[in-house]
Amino acid sequence: MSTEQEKKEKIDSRITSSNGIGSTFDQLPRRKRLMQPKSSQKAMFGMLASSAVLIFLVLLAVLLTIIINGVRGFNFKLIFLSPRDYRYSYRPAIFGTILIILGAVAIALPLGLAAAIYLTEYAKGGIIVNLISQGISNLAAVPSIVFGVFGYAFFTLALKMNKSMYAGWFTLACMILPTIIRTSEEALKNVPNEYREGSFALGVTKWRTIRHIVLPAALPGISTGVILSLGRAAGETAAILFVGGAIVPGFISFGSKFGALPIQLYLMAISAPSDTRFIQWSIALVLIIIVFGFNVSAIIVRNRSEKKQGRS
Amino acid sequence: MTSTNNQATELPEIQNADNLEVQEESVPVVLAIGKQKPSWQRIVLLILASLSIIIVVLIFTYTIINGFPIITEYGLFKFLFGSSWKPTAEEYGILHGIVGTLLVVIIAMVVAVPISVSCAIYISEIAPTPIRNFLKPTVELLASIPSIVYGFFGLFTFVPAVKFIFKLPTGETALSGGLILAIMVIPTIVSIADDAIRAVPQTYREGSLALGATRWQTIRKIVTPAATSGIFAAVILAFGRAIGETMAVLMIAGGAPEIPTPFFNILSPVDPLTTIIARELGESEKGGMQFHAIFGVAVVLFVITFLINVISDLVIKRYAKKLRGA
Repeated sequence: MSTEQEKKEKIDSRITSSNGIGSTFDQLPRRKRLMQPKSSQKAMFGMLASSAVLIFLVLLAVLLTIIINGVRGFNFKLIFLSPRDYRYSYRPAIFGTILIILGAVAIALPLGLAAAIYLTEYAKGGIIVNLISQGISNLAAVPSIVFGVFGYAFFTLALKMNKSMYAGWFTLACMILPTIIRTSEEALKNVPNEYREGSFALGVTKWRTIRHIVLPAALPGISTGVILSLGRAAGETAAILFVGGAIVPGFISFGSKFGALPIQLYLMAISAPSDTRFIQWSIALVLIIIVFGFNVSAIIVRNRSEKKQGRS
Repeated sequence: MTSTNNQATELPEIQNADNLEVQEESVPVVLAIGKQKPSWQRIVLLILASLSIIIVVLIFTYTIINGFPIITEYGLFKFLFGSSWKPTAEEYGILHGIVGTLLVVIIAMVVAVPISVSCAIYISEIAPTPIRNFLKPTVELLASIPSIVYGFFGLFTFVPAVKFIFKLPTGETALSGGLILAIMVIPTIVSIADDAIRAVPQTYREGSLALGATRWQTIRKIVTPAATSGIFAAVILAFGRAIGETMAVLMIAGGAPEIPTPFFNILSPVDPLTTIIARELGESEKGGMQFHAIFGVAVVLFVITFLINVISDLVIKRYAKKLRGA
């Protein structure tokens, strides 16, 4: 009995003397502990670290599967020859993806930027502006399939654009519009108010202040948002599946069905013969290279502007 | 005492007077310049801004108006809680879709939440800076992989694996769909939860460590409780993303328009709400009841998105208040 108590005291004193931790807690009544604080810390840190490792390994496995299978199926004929010369070539899909995301951004950027400028620089608050802001952030979170439904019903059917690249442009533009408004607003709000006040104090008009002072300062933030939207649009499937996305033998016209990489991947995965499986993996690979390209350039733009601001 | 008080009250008056004089001079000048050049750019800006706001409003109203007949003509109750979807028999119940969505999303969250939150704690509190600087951007980059790629990946890995392990006729089950969704939402949870944990003021940690608590005790008793609502917001947002996910579940969750038996059977094919839209939209006829039913499903997705946005907004605001107030 007494030896046990002695042992316990010994341990306690060792903890106290060795690192000073526990001196306050030892005087408090405490629950029986399974482990000493230091060893339980070690165990828990190990567990947390292993969950991080597990996530890293899972994501690495996903990437490696796509890269290994994709490289195996990849072939330069697939992206340089036309489908007439090489049956499974997806050159039209790459071309279509480029056309469709550029068109969508060309529509959404002026509209979204104007709305952001209006909301941050001119609007005076109030219920309606709040309601619109709320609507925009909700719309930014709406699943892309909902835009597919809207685009199909409104552009393809109601406005009689049929299944065409026009319908694809407008549908994708609707999808990225809320994001562009949101990120541009954010970038404009981050421009310090002193910039505007300094300009006003020199007698410059509001529009000129926005045009020559606020917009240039907000440009890195706005372009980050635009690049991210491009990446999102490039990988989008559900929104354009019903407004004209298809496997096409080549570019026909803006008024007809169009190819796009994600559509090509989806349609081939569900219907093409299984001997084209590695070609399909290579489409997935090309697609993530494009999307990563956009994301990495967005990160570069952001870091550069942060560095610049840090210096000045 | 009284004299200093007088001074104190007089001083601001003088300053005010000064300010007034300056303003009287400068304000008219600014106005005059503004009037000299009526900016056509501003008019263009206003037109574009209102056009963009009209589009936002249009997307909402057009979808809701088109979804409305399913409530007025078919019946809200029959639509939400009817269990059979047979366009040929004019039956448009989406209960199987709701069950399917919940099943897939719950599997995803059960798998993803514990591991992602632990990873977020590790990244924000424990990991050395180089590891953190490598892990965080990597995980965030993976959030940008398009869902079609995840769907394609799952179709040729998880689906055969589930089929083989459980000896099923088909591997396209709620389980496969849930697992791929789990991988898809992990980056979202890790990234937002990490931000939330880092937002806990450093003084909290210092106070706890100064009292002699170990780092783990500090994380468990101080940092994590303080960041709970932020972590909760991360989970809610991931939940929302998982519900709206289309292509991945369309490709690997089966798509049988029936409620699994029993309804929690994760090894049977399911038909989440988004896949109902994706499968039926192309076949529907404009103005027909099926068309309106699909819009009804879109409205349901709208409503879910709004609820999730409102909840996460509230949680985040309370969280910010709590950290500021303390």
